[in-house]
Amino acid sequence: MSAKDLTQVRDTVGISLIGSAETSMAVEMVTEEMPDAKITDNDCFYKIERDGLLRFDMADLAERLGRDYTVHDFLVNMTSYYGRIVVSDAAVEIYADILPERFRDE
Amino acid sequence: MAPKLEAVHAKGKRYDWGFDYARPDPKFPTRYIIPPNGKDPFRIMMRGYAAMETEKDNRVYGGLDSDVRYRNANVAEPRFMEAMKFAVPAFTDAEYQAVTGAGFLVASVKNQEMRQGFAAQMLDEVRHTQLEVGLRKYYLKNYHDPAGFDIGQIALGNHPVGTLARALVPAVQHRRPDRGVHVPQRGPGDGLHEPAGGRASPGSHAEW
Repeated sequence: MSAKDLTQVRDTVGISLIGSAETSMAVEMVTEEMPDAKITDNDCFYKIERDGLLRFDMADLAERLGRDYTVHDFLVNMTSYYGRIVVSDAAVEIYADILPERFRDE
Repeated sequence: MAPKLEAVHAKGKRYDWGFDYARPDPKFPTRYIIPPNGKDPFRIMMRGYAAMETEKDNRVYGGLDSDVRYRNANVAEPRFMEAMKFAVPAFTDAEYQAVTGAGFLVASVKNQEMRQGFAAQMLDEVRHTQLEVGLRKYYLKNYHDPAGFDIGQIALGNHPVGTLARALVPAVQHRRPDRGVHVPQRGPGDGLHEPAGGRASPGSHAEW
């Protein structure tokens, strides 16, 4: 039996990205802008985890890559995630909370 | 400037219509109710999704292309390849039936936002079917002992393993989803969207 308390509430969110040039830039961006994020290199994919919020800004990634980069290009590299994902033109965000208001029950 | 994804997606949801002469009942009634206000966090739209699928196909076929040039098919463990002769046609059949499963959801969930995602899922399953047929052709042409890959579709119909695969897939793929998709559109009690005797309850004729 593990001594870990599995009933403890967490607000960690995470994403797995296939290894690629775009993912390398995303990892670089997370390292610089979200230093509290935990990044695991699993050779062919990266797992990125953080408490509260993970935000991938497409304009930032496009600048790092030196070319246009859309959320659809980003999602090709995404294999899985946990948390509450919100996809828009500008960014892919994964929240721990039920945000934004659009996802609350009406 | 191109319109924002959020705006286009919100507009797309309005392309919905009711039924005034047909009965829009799902094929199989269920005791579950999915609320009509379900939301797709990915905001799937066909144009963006097609771009993603194209990129994925480019990567897979690009990989197969380099496999041909590096003669990778013959590096694989022969026992694995023998298993693939059974497995790949069975998986192709499973993907093909997943197309039907996605169709079930499109026909049954009365929510235009979710339907766009289900339609994308359907296209994705079509793509998987094509990819796996492509894989079969790749093995057939590039593996040194291709006997078996040439009769994949015939074996799926005639071989005992093919019969098992065909029987198994609908049981796991189609039976459950169709039970979670009955949504009364105009409210309960209107007599249009519920089986005779009220909503199906466990043990009723609608339960199977």
